Amino acid sequence: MHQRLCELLPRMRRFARSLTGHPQDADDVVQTAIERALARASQWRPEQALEPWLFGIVRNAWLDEVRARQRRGRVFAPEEEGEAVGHAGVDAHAVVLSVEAAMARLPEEQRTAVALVLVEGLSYKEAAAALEVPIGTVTSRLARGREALQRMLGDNRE
Amino acid sequence: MKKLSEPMLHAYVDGELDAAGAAVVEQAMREDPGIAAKIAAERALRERLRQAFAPVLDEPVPGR
Repeated sequence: MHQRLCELLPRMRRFARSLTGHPQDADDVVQTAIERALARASQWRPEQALEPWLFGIVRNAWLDEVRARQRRGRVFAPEEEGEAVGHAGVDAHAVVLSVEAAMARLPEEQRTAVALVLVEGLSYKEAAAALEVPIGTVTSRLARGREALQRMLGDNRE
Repeated sequence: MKKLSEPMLHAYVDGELDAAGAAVVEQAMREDPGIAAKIAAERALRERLRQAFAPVLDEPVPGR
């Protein structure tokens, strides 16, 4: 497990960066995830795919951090913004954003689906396993996320 | 003839369709430039996302 964690560390860091939008948050989340993965190593069955299991731990570590910040009353702008703009269409004349800024504006569920499938290249089935949701849930979050990103990144050719 | 849907287009770009499904999409792309453009836009988005976060892979890992 330790060896495979070392091999997967760069990808865990990339996933954490796309999810948290902040290098320090990403490193903290990966640190937590590694500790938890090692503590739970006995729970992982070798026939299970390791990457979905690990990415799921990273994502849950981030969710725990977000909840802890909310309990402490800390304003957490990207998540709040994300919740607000998640369903309404983004203004067609909005300034074209960077990828990082656009990802930060997605609701966490959509951002996570995009990060797992479009950035990390997990299959729908692997992403569903990582998130412990049905495949249909993954694809609908993914569809909304990529649609919102197309609008925000100015790639809309309609 | 199986009807083309947006989920099918996404699945095609993501490599999730079987050979039959992929053939349906590729035929539609040949016949409809609008569909070909949508596929191109989704591929461009995917590439842009990967490029944005690829540098993280090469960063030195913080000392552990």
